[in-house]
Amino acid sequence: MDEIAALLEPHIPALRRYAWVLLRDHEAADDLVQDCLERAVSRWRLRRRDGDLKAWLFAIQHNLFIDGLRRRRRELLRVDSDQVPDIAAHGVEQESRAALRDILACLDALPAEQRAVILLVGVEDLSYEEAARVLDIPIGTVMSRLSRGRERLRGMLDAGSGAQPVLRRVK
Amino acid sequence: MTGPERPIGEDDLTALVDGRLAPERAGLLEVYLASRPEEAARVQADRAIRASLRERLAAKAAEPIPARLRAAAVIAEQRRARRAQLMQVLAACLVLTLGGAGGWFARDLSDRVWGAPARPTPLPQEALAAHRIFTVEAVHPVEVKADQEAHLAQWLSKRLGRRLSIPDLEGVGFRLIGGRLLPAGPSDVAAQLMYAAADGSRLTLYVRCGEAGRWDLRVSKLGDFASATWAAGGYGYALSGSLDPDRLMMVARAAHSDMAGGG
Repeated sequence: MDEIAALLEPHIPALRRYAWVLLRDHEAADDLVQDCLERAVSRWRLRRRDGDLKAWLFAIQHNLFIDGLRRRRRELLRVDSDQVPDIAAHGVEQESRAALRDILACLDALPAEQRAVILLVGVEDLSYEEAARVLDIPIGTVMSRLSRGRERLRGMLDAGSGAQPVLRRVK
Repeated sequence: MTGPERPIGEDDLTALVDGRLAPERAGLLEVYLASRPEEAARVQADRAIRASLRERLAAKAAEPIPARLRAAAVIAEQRRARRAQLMQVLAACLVLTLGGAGGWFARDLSDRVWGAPARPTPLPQEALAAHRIFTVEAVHPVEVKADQEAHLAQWLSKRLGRRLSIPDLEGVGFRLIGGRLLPAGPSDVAAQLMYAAADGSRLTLYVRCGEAGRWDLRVSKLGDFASATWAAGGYGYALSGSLDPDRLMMVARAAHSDMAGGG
């Protein structure tokens, strides 16, 4: 049991961060992580020995997040729609207009599926294969969602011209 | 240098942004981008966006882990819950055993008085008992694996005394692992089909003969588990797993309609 704890703990900060970006609520995010850890412990023997623990944990958490979305149907409709690049999702309303230029506001404006790969690969450092396993999609789909998502972000941050350093515009 | 090499693709540019480019492609990419300032600028911009997103989110991962998310706390809580659940199951078994024994001794009486022997074990409990025993098996979860699906269907159909069509649940995220035959009560048999989702979670579909009742799909909860059952034509069906009841119901509808359509 101590061995399980020692293997799980290093991944908790990343799981909390991913949960928070998806839910944008500290308590709800930690609830999701707790559900994920409980499920991981109860299914510990079912994990693939040769598999990567990090990808397995992210897959469990991602599926729990999707299950939660299904329960809240209205949110599902909003998040799953591919056609809402201009409508910023939850959390943005409370923030000031200046914050709309914030990178997170732009991320929120992406379709959920593009947001997930950008976070898993770009922030959580999962390999393309691992991200494909987490989301249960082919690796080619991971690559195309990544490049489409990044293209949209670039457009939103008006960095396409390339001359302007992005960091200055973001902060 | 560019002779036999694979041509540059979007995936190379993506890998360059993520720092995941294979070293042998790096030189090729450098040459390629040197003559294409627009694409080089795009890679540059993507890298900057990636870096600023990481910077923006770094603080969240650096926060101290709350006590309730300490792995040791989660494990301890789970142990406690499992003990409580075990007690619940033991209590249920005791009730079933007493009920079964009572039913056995009273069978002549009940046969005479009511015409048919009473079956004391409700279908969801019976199916969940089988679910709990076999889904934790990592090595031998099933007797016959899914790669012999036709044989499995034929065998179980023969033993159940009805044509059993194995529902295809891939559309709702569950892949068939295989199935097994089980005793059900003193004289009946049951089939158990097992399915797995991509995250390793397992579902079982339990089909038993000798079911006197008849009812439409409904969900019962027992601890962390839920079971969606229906019964018709002398057969009882139970789909069990540790899913939330809405999702279970969705999968059960798929199984129900698939079985009704297929036989």
